[in-house]
Amino acid sequence: MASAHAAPASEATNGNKPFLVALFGDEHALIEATSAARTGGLPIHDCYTPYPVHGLDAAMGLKRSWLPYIAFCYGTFGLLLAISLQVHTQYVDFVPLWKGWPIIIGGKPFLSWPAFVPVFFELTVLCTGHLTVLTYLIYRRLLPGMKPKISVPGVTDDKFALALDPAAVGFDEGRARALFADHGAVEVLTVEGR
Amino acid sequence: MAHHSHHDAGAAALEDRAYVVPKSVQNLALALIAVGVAGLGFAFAGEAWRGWSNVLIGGYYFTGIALGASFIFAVFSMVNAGWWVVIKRPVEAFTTFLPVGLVAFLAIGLLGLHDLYEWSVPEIVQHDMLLQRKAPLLNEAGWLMRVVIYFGIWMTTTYLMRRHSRAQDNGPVDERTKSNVRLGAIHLVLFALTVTFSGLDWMSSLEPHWFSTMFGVYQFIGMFVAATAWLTLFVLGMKKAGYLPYVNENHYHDLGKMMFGFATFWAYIWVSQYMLIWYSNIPEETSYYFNRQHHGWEYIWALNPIVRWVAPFLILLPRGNKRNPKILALAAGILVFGHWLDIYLQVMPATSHFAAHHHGADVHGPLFGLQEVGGLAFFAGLFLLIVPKMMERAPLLAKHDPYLEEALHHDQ
Repeated sequence: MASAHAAPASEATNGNKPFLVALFGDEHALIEATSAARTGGLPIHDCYTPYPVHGLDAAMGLKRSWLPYIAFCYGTFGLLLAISLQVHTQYVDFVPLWKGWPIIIGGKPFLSWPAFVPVFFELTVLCTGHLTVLTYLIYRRLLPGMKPKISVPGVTDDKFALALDPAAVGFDEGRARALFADHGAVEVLTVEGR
Repeated sequence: MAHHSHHDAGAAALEDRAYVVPKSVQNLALALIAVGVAGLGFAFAGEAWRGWSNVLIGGYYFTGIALGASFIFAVFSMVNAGWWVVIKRPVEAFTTFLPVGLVAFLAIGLLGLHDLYEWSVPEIVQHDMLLQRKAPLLNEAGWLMRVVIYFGIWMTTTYLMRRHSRAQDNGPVDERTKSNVRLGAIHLVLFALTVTFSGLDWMSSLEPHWFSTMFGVYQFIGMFVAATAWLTLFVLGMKKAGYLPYVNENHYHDLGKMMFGFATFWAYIWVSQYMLIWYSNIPEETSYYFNRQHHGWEYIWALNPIVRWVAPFLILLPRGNKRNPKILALAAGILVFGHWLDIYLQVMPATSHFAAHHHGADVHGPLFGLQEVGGLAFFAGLFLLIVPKMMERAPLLAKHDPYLEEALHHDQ
C-alpha cells in the first residue's frame, strides 16, 4: 500500500498558497477521513482522486453543481439560435441589408415548421453538449495548456488526496495531522497551489 | 460502498411485509369493471363498431402495459441492472395481465373484425385491387392465428422469466439470474418482431391502404413509456400503503429518468413518422394525418404530443421533480392519460370513418361518451383487479437476488 517512491511533492508548485495534503491508498480511507475532517470542523479545500468516488460529494458536504442550470441556458440558446437561423434564412427578405434567402422547397410554404424540427433538435443538443463541457473544462482549468490550480502527485495514478486549507478558519495543524494518521494516510505533504 | 454504515442490517434482516390487496383498490377495480360493463353494454346495444372500437382501445392499451413491463423485465435482466430489483415484483405482476389481452383479441377476431377492419369485408375487397394484393397477410384466419402466436410467445417467455425469478425466493441460485440474461435477450428479439407485426395487424390495418415504416417502433415506445408510468404509479401507491420500505427517492429518480428520456424518444419517433410523410406529401401516406387533421380531430391530434411529451418533459426536467413523489405521480398520470389518447387517436378516426362509409353510421369527428369511458374503465378495472392479486402470490422483496444489495444501496 504505502508508496515506496517518495514523490518530490514540494516541487509541484502552481502558486504560492500552501495546502496540507494527505494521500490515502484507497477510497474508503479517503471518504472516512473526509467525513471526520468535516465533522471535526477542519476546512476542506478539495479532494483529488484517480476516478469518481461514489459518496465523496456527501462526505465533503458539497452542494449540487450549478452546471445543469448553465446547460439549460445553453440548450435554450441553441434552440433560439436554430429558430432565428431558419426563420431568418427562410422567411426574412424584407429587411434591407439583412435579407434571408427564402426558397420554395417541395412546394411547401416558407415557414414550414416540421422541416425545422431536426435543426431545432440538433442545434439544441450541439450547443448544450459542447458549451457545457467547455464551461466545465475552463472552470476546472482542464483545457490543454491551462495551469491547474493545484497539482497533487499520484492522484492520476493510485492515490486519493484530501487537501486542507491552512489559511481558512478552523485549521489546526496538530489536529489535522492526527486525523490523517488515524485514518491511515500513507503520506502527508504540503503542496503549493492557488 | 460509500454508505454501508447506514445499511449494516443488510437485506437478510429486512422484514418484508407480505402484500395484501387493499380493500380500497379492490373496490375501485370492481367499480371500474361495473362502469365498464355498463359502458360497453351501452355501446354494443347502440352500434357494434363503437363497442368493438373501445374493446380494441382498452384491450390494446393494457396489453401494451403488460408488454412494456415484459420489455422492462427482459432488458433489465439482460443488462444485469441492479437498482430495479426492489421494484421487480410489480413489473413481474404486470406481465401476468397478458391472458386478458388474449381473450380481448380473440373476441375481436372471432366476432368484431367486420366492424373494425375493411379488409375483412369481402364485398369491399372484391372492388379493391390493393386489398386483394394484401389478402395473404390481411385475412381473418391469418389474423386470428397470429393473435395466438403473439400471445403464445409473450406468455411463454414472461412465464419462464417469472419462474426463474421466483425460483430464487427460497435461497440463492445465481444460475437463475444468468438464465434470465439469456431469456431476456431471446424475449427482446421476439418482442421486437411481434410488437411490430401485432401493431401492423391490430392498429395499422385499420387503415389498410396506409403504411408507415415507423409504425412498429412507435407502438413499442408508446407502450414502454406507459408501462413505466403505470409502474411508477403502482410503486408510489404501494409505498403510500406502507409497502416497499426500502424504495426511496433514488429509485423514484430512475423511474423519472426513464419516463423523461423515453417520452422524448416517443417525440423523436412521432416527429420522424410525421415529418417524412408531410415532406414527401404522397396522398396514400398523408391520408392517415389528413383524417386526423380535419372534422375536429385536429384538436386531439395537437393535444397528443403535449400530453405525451411537452408536459412530461418540462415537469421532469429538474432533478428535484424526479425525486418528489407528488410531482412524479403527476407526470406519470399525464403519460397514462396520454397513452390512452394516443391509441384513441389511432383507432377512432379510422373505425368511425369506416363505420360512416360502410355501416351508414352518422359520425363526423371525435366521439367521447359513456362508451369510451366504459371501454377504458373495463380493462383498467381488470388490470387493477388482477395485477395486485398476482402480487399477493410472491414476496415483494426478491430476497436472494444477487443484485439486491446494489438496489438497496442505490444512491445518486
